Amino acid sequence: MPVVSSCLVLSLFFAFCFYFIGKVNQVNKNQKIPDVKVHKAQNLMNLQDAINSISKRDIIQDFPYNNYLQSRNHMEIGQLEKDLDLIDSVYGEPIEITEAIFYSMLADSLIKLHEQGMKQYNPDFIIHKLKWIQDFEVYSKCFTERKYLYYAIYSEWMNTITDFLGTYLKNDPILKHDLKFKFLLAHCKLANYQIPVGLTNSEKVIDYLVQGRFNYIWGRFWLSTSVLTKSGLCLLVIFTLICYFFTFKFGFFKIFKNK
Amino acid sequence: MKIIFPLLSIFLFATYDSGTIAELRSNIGYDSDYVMSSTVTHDGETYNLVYMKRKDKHVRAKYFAKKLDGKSVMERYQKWAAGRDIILYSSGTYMDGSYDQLDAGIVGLTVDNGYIINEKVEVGRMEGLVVVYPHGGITVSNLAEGNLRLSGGSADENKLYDLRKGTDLARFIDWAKEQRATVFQTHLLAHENELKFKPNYNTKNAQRERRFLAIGFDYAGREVQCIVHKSEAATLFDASSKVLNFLKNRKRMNVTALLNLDTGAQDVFRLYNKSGTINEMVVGRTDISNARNLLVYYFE
Repeated sequence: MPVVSSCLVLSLFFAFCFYFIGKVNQVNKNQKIPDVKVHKAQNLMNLQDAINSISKRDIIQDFPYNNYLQSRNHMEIGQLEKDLDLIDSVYGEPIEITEAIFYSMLADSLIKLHEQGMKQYNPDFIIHKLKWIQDFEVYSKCFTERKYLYYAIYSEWMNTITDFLGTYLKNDPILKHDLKFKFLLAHCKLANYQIPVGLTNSEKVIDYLVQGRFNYIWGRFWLSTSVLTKSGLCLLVIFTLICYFFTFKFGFFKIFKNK
Repeated sequence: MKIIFPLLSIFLFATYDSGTIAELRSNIGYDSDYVMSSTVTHDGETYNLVYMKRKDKHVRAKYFAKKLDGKSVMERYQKWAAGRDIILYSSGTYMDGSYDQLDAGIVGLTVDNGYIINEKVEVGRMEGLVVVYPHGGITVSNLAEGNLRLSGGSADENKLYDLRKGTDLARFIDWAKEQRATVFQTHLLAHENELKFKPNYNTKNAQRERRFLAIGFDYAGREVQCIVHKSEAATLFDASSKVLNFLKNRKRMNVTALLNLDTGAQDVFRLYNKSGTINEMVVGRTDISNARNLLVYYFE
């Protein structure tokens, strides 16, 4: 009996060690945060010509969204402002038309364009996008006549990015230890975008133990577990106590007797 | 012995009295015509009900979303509550992740008295958007319907705001800042008398006591707000459907919204009698010092 219980304890100890070693090895060791290089697209599209024949009634539907994204330098605020002024001057509806078009394009359409690429965790890509979109929050403060447009684009991207980060974390909880993920999390938190970092049940138990919430743990255990689980756990506790009893009785007693 | 017993008596009296006085200090009392607390049995189930009439806007709400400026929720509440007639306080929406005050995972769009706490809108799992105005009024809208009406300040009163759209969200946030509104999201369990329970609610299968905030109208069309507490452990779905049934059929209430209040790790609740003493009908298992957010009803 003492040999059996000692073997059991040793086995548990080694299993514990291998578990933690395995978890540590799962974490991506690539620690380098990428530099962001601003991509300067060439202006291949003449916006004035592109919208010349489109009426006020049809412009939202018929605006060349994809062509604009691929052929116009929408990453530079100077160019963007000029294009916004152009649409305003042609159609004269800053909210109903200009805002609607550019929000749809730089938020909805651009997100859809990149959505496939974001389905897999690609931290470098998201860091690049995050740094680009955070400029829009600044634009909303600088260009106050268009603050709602810039803020809306920023907000839509931030909501999308945090949604994806939440999904990555849910699918692969080990990410919470990944440096680039922590970097993204911190950036979002600073911007007041909280990503719920869900705790597993065992993590919650550790949390409550640290807080000394013993009554709460007992209450949750009692309410949430079946009779079978309670009985099994009870038997396990009794078996462990019996093992320790015999270990002390025969193991240590023998040592002292031999001395 | 001759000295010990008198000293002990004085000690017990002193501590008892100071406790009572400490509670009374912030609770001068409210009008019981507007607030009724009762335990009701309906269809074999027991409900602890705090029924508040919003007539003349005497019954008001206040929400503390988070620790701010180094002050915990409890400290903020104590400072604000001094001299006010408190009806009750309760934990608000549920928190995700660690519930430590610094890192507590606030879920959903959250604004505290015009101060932005969290701009991330939770779509799909927390459709109840609650707006608490500085004057104490509460409105609830279903995010999924995109028909939020705003009034005051820069709001367009003829417009229906859809917070799933960035342009409307940007305007809403600006409005919330200027109006010093408090905003939070929670599970919208029922809306317009119908259960809106979605199968992706995380707590679907967990059995525990439940607490709800119901907003609506009585049989005569007068605005009412209730806190309904079910102490028997039940799943969220079971408890929601029973409470909705109870409010509609027994209390004859037109339920505009039924919202989930947290009874998990931060199960904070205290109810006061009209005289200002504590009502033991429902007592939260967690002390207010551990509150991560707090919904307060008061009388003015």
